[in-house]
Amino acid sequence: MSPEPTGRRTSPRIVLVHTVTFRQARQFVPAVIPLLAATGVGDGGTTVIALVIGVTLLSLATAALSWWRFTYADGPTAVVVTRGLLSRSVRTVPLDRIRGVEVETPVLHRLFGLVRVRIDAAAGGVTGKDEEIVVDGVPLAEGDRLRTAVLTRRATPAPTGGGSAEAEPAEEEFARFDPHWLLYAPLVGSYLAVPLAAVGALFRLVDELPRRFRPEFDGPDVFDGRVIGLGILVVLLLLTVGSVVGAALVNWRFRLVRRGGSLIAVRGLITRRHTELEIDRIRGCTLSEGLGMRLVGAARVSALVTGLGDAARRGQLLPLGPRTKAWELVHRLVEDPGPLAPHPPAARRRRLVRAVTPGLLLTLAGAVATLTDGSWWVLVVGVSLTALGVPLGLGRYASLGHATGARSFSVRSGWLVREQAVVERRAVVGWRVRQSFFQRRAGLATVMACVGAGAGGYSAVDLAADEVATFAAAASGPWADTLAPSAGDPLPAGPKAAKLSEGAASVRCTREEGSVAMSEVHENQPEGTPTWMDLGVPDLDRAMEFYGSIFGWEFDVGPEEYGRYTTCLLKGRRVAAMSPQFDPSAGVFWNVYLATDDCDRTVEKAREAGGTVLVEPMDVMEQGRMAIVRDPVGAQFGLWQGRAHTGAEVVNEPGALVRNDLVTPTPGPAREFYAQVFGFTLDGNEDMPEADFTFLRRPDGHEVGGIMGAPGSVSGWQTTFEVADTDDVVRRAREAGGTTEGAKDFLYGRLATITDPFGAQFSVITRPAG
Amino acid sequence: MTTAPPPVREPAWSLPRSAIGLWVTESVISSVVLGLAVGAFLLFVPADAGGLVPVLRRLLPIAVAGYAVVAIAVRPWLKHRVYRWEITADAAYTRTGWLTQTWTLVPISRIQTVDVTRGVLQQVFGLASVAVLTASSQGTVRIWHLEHVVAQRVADDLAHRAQQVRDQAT
Repeated sequence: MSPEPTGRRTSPRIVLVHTVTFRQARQFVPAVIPLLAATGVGDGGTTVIALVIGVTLLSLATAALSWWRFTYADGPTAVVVTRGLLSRSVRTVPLDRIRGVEVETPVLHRLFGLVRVRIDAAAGGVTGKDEEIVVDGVPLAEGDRLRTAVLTRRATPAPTGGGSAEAEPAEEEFARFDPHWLLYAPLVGSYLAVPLAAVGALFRLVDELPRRFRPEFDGPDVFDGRVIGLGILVVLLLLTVGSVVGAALVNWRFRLVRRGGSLIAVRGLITRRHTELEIDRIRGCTLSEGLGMRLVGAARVSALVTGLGDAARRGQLLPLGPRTKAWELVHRLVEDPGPLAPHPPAARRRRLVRAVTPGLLLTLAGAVATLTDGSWWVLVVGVSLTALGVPLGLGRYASLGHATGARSFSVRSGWLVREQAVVERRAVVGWRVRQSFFQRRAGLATVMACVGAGAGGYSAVDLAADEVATFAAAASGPWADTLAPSAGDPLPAGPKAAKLSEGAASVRCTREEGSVAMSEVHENQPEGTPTWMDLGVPDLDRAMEFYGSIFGWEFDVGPEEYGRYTTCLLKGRRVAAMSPQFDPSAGVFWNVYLATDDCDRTVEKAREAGGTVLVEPMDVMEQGRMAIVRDPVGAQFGLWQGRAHTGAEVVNEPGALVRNDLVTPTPGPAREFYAQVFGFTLDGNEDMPEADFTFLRRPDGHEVGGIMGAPGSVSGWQTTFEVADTDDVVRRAREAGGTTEGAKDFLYGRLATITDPFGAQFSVITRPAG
Repeated sequence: MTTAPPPVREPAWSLPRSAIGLWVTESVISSVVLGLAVGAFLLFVPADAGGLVPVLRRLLPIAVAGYAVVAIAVRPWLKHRVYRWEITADAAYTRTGWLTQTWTLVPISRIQTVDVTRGVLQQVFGLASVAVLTASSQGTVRIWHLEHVVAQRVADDLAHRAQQVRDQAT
């Protein structure tokens, strides 16, 4: 039954409408008026008449031409519009990009029984511009058919007897305009602008008329108090009446109903507008109250609809109404996140300072002016502006607020127009935190939730700086924990400490009781990341005693048949392992395992790059697959392709692995080898220009370790564990039989290198707080 | 020091030092252009013209000189300290700005497009920028001035991961 997508034409009657309104010919008007003004209209009326006829004919011709060249077709998958006076343009908009359809009936269209259909489509890709297709001048029935066809994504045959004959889904009324609400109009800025715009247009018109056509009257004596009073009265009356009339014209018989999955808003007296929004695409609402509206408890409501352009007009759900009604409507569409929390006192100070500063500057200038040439009026203006700034600043502060709920969040700001946005958490596609120099000093920040709907972003202005991360996480998803100063790092990280914190990257941060940030890893680390450590020692019991006392580890001793491979646990989570198996010729050392997605392939690459394979790839039960490799400079490391065992379950916190570095006298070949095998990029450490230190970075940019060139050293991977207090650990290590030169302050924290009772060397570090 | 700690975590990586060179070059170019404009003003606008001209003749050169000093000798280093970036397991994260600082975070699941751009100057310095775009006009993460190979790899990695975890809920 679907109509073949052949081109349909609009009604020829539209040519008349466009001729009368000079729709196409309008663009010539600016050219004609100066022409007229230059040549003069002449003495006789003939010129005028000739001109009128000429323009009308021109208008008719252009209107007919554009009607003739315009066709549209609504196929099963796309709407295609073909047009263009000289060059032909064909525009195809897939149905799934269409966000809404609006049918409007301007007054002239109504005379001819026509409507105008606007089809809104989301921008393709990210070109940014939304598209709009306007099919101007189809009969009412065809307009309805087009709307239904496009919105239901299936073409229904055009009903012959008018659109209302078909069975509609049940309707639910969300809001209906009460004519009493028109009384709010004089207090709403945008409606006040209607009469002003009309007056402005009138003056411009008078201005453009040739001089001799202007009405002449004597200038009134403007210094007469009565004239001024009368003038003000007239203007006020005009504004009041004009705004009420304006509001009535636009909002006449406004109705908002839900029909199936759509919200339909119908309104307007002269131009009847019919806007349809998909409820599934609504991500939130804004409720705005201007200064005047707040006096009488009025508000307006708009919906945030994804992919809808010109949202200010089309997203409007309640153009004007009582506050209570407005909130009712908002809560029908978005879950209430609860009452707003006020912003800190520093925010009030900032609002006050910002409101008062211009006045103060003017006062200062005024004081100077008074002293120099006695012109006191600047001073008066300055003082009164300063005084007015106080209530303004307080008012602006009182507007600020934010709240987070289970499924939504809310932010409010603004004084002249106070706007509160209530947005679903799932709508947030990003966070933008801004902090100016002054905000930094005041401990404040402005946080914007980026939303793919409405204005694109909604801000919590002047939030307390330490609440920012909590708010962002509570108002979106766990991914926003990235903002938390403690993510992957139990201590607030400065730039340098942050670098170090990535030693074992890709950690997922979870919060435990007592709000201590833990750095837990639940999946395999990306290729090349240090993921596991083990230590072969001659005396397992002694090793357990030593490491247990310095790191607080517990041990899960493996059975004899697995060589007593013992897992070291920190609060029940795997951090490393030890075993009584070791090769006396290689000495005792912590062996680091780098993660790999394919153990066999990485071993092949290591061989090609000049490495020696000490242990060929082998399965470790169902845990994973491992190999041991020695690099060209003689340092040994393992490879781990995790399956059941994903490596260390906790990193970057006291008692766990934080960093691995290769120390070698010949860094050159080592850099080449690791870059070739793991695809690491290398970059120098700018913090330590005097050292030959190279960061190893995974292809995604994460730093996973480093290569330290140290003349006279023996090549080997060095392991650093994080500790809460380096000095305390040094003391305990000495007590337990280890040796160390003691703790020293290093660029990235307090560091100590410790040798365990068996000769294995490792480092511990406490990263700085603050 | 009364300044509070930053409101959010700092991204892990700073930009390569060649970005400083690029910024200095940009500032030199804009300073020269401004200088030429002021020179033309001094040369072609008669000194005895009325209005603000005498004041401007004195103020404009000072303003341009001040701008040049800050833009060439101070701002590039400040920016290099502020600009940072990081790609975490589930988000792209940057800090930009110098006086006013901006942190931008975008989850990989909401990424729509990843662009790599290389301006003329960037090519001279072997740099490129990565732009991570989402459905929101405000939610764009721009990582300025990475080494070209790094930028390309970051973009490829992000595009690949975004494909896997794309979330159509927006």
